[in-house]
Amino acid sequence: MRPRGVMCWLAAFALLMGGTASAAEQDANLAFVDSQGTREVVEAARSALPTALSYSYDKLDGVTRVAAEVGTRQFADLQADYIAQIRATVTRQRLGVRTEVVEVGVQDLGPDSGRLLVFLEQVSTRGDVNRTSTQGIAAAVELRKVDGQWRLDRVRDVV
Amino acid sequence: MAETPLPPASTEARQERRWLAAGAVVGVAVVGLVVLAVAVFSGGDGPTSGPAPSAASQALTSAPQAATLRDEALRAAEASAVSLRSLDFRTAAQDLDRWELTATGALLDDLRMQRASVASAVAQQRTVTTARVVAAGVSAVSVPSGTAEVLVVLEVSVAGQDGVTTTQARQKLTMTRTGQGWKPSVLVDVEPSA
Repeated sequence: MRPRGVMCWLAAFALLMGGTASAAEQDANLAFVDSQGTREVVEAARSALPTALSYSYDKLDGVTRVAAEVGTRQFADLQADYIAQIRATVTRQRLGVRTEVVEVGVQDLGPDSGRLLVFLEQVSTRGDVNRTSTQGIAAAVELRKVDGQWRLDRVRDVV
Repeated sequence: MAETPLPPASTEARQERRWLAAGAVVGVAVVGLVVLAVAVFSGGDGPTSGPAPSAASQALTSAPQAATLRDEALRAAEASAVSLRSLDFRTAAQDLDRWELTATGALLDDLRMQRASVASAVAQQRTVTTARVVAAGVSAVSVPSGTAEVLVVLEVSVAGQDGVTTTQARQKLTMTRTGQGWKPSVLVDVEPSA
């Protein structure tokens, strides 16, 4: 009797765990399941990306300040590194870049993290040759919630 | 550039990556065919009627339904985007049949209307266009209407007599639940405005 009882219990446990795993798996991605959370992370990205990814050769120091305002420490550090790399070129070209968000898709949403696919449009103006160009970009954007606020954590080209 | 932040558009790296002049001629023809800006669901093989998909901010009444719809629509959109960007001049008739089986609504109407011109172009240019999904995400879900909007990034390769050209395509598909499963009723190439 006892082994059979154990087996029954195990079977019931397995069913329970299976059901739990299935529900957890489905609930793991809260995109469009948590409508409020989905709206918040999308709006945060729409608000932060244009300011974080727009800059002008004569105001490069402001880029790191903006990054600290709308991003995590990691994001701010990456922005600072990047600006240091491009500063000479951007200054020589007298380059200005304006970034706009065109479309936002949600890939994954958790309570404190979000992954988005964002279509951006960047308008670049080179003052040294008086030329403007527009490019469409697909970006993988990661956000983290810090102290209740969604912040940019990483932005990468989709390649 | 693979890390934060995005580089300025005029850097050499970006010039190198983007966008290789939209590929070979037939690639352009295929792109032109599937680009639709129609925002109305109609006809086809019976898409679920109802309003256009909600914005991301619209409240959803059923979380499990929303998750199921989101995931089903995403998978179907990825497969549809690949299907509608793949065309082999050696099997053009079958490929164009597949295009029509893939689509519904206004998109299907357009595919049927342009079928002859596409078949003629691909036969003349003798190209093989293939695609793969690089990334995808859902931009809107509407449980009541059984629709969703999905963003897809494709890597599109066009092989012709002059070699292989690879480009990236950004697409937005409106997915509609039909009696034959999820199908795109609208497909828009999201191009820069200027």
